[in-house]
Amino acid sequence: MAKQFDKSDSSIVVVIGSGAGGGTLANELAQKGIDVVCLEAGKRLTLADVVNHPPTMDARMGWHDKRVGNMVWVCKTVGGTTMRWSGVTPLFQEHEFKALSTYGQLDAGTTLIDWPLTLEELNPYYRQAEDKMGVSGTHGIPESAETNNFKVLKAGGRKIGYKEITASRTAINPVARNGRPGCQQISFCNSGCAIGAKWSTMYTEIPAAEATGHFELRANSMVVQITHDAKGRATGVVYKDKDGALHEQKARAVCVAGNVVETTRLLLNSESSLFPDGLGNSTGNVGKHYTRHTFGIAFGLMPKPVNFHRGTRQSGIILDEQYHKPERGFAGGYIIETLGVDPWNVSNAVGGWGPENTVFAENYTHLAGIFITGEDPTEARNRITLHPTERDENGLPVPVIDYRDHANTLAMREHSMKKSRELYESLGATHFYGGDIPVGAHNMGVARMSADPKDGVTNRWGQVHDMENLFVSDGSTFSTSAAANPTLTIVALAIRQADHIAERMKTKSL
Amino acid sequence: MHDSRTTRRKFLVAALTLGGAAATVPFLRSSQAWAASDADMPSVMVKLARRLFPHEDMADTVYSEVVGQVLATVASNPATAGLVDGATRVLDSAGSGSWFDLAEAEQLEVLRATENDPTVVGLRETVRFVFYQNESVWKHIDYPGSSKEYGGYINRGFNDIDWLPEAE
Repeated sequence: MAKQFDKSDSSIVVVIGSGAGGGTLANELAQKGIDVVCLEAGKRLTLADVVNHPPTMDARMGWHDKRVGNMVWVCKTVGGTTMRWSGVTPLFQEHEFKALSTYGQLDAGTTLIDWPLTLEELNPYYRQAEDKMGVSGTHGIPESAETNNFKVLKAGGRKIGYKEITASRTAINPVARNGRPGCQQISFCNSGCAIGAKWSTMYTEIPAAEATGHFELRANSMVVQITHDAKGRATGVVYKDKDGALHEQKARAVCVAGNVVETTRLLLNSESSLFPDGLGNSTGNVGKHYTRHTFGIAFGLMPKPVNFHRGTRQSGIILDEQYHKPERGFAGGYIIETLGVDPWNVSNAVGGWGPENTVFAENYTHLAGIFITGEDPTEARNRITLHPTERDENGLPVPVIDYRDHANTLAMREHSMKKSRELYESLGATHFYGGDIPVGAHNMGVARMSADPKDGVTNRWGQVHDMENLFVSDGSTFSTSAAANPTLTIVALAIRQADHIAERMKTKSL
Repeated sequence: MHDSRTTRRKFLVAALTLGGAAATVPFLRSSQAWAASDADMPSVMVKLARRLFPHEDMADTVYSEVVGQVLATVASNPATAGLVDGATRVLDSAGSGSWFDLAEAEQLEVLRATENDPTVVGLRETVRFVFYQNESVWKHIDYPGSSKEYGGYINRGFNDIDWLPEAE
């Protein structure tokens, strides 16, 4: 069972974060017999802590430490943001690994590059990730059931000419599998799945890793610094426990998966005389190229009941707009997904006040909902930095998040809202709301993989260019955003990185 | 669009409801003379809640219940304790007299004129948050609340829609 490692044991791999990237990487390493200590800032919840009330769960598992600037929506708990994620697992398309070659640089401000790996190279890891997570419609797993909200999306989508429409490609069990039950259509999956039908590292990767005897989880452990020796090799980490006491854990290699804001903060806050601008930042790319997808939200007030609170929040996707079709007036593509939210989130998303707002919540049972996620070009100006003077309760510099939509993102959102309106109006919708979600839930890019160190922070394995035993293992490594919800790709990259680390340990190059 | 208003709105709600480190609500002190109504604060707030979120057939008793929760919520946090007084002061000073006593048309005009005032925004978002968490409001809009204890909707209509055109 769960092992305990000595803090002076410098043979272990330290993984920071227990979400999609960290939780997966830690388990993959432990399964190979590699000793891992996983440090997680949040506390360990159980399924019994999950209630079907979004605001309560946001308070219970959301990351609410002080930030300046744009909002992000991530979790501070064992399992990380896999507790909150929707479970939607679309694949990248081939061209999305080649943003620069396909779209060209959009203007002087964009910083598009090609990924230093291809779809062909990632495909075997996509297959492993699908199997691990239990993606419906793959690996003999049944298709997902069609919810009311999805049936509206499908019927309207067909009416306006869409062809690639599926309720599947979601990591929510349609039927029991691998010790987890089938979905009961409880709704609002973003509050955490109360029965564990949705894949989350909290009840999959973490206990599986513990069962190997090669893994120790330390919850309530906030890493504040990565340490290194005079040669620039990472030697361990310093972390704060729940009582505020500092500890140092030695390590053979360190893997950072704190989700984009925390990953940036940790790399920058670990500055030293050898790395005066922070770790991995010799070319000034840490925190830069921050991207968070083109987001959109739409509600159609339908002529008859839909009841989108019954069943999976994001229960189906339309892929027809994911392709690169420059004739639409923007580069890259987007994915249309269903969305069902609680009454407050309806009112809050529509915004404003008075009858124009209230008509949506008043007709709550008649609402159908859409969520848009699309490619968002990387720009140097969109970045995360550390506040020069403000400190949080841990004494850490407060992250400053500076993000603005690119014109391409605005054009894409406008197109997606026009199509969403057409879709719902084709079925007789009487009212339509479409707009932005100004919150970063899909955070990417701040330690991106690049073939040339001058363009990014990490190499094609997620290893920091400047340091041979420091890795980044979360969405920070995405070279560009693509359109797809990022979790499946984070998991596939983590499995691939575990293979790479194990191989290098075998050949003694790590 | 980058909607900084929406961002601020959400930020305020987070501050108000989660008691985070950022729980500071700007408090505007108007130097202008303002006219308070004789009406008590709950009555003013009920009227305000109805103007902001007008559900036509919803009983005043539901609005009263929400207002009671709002007043208790803001009072429980030193950072928000002045919110109701502050916001109503802004409303009272923006029209031709105390907001409560104005005709409906002018009440709406004042609400439009002050809709980006940070204190008014803070109060409106608190009302929104409490209002749409309230079970009597949920009942009015036929949202039944948590489904976990009933086994979700797997056997209770998650796929019962019957009015869509037949797929080809």
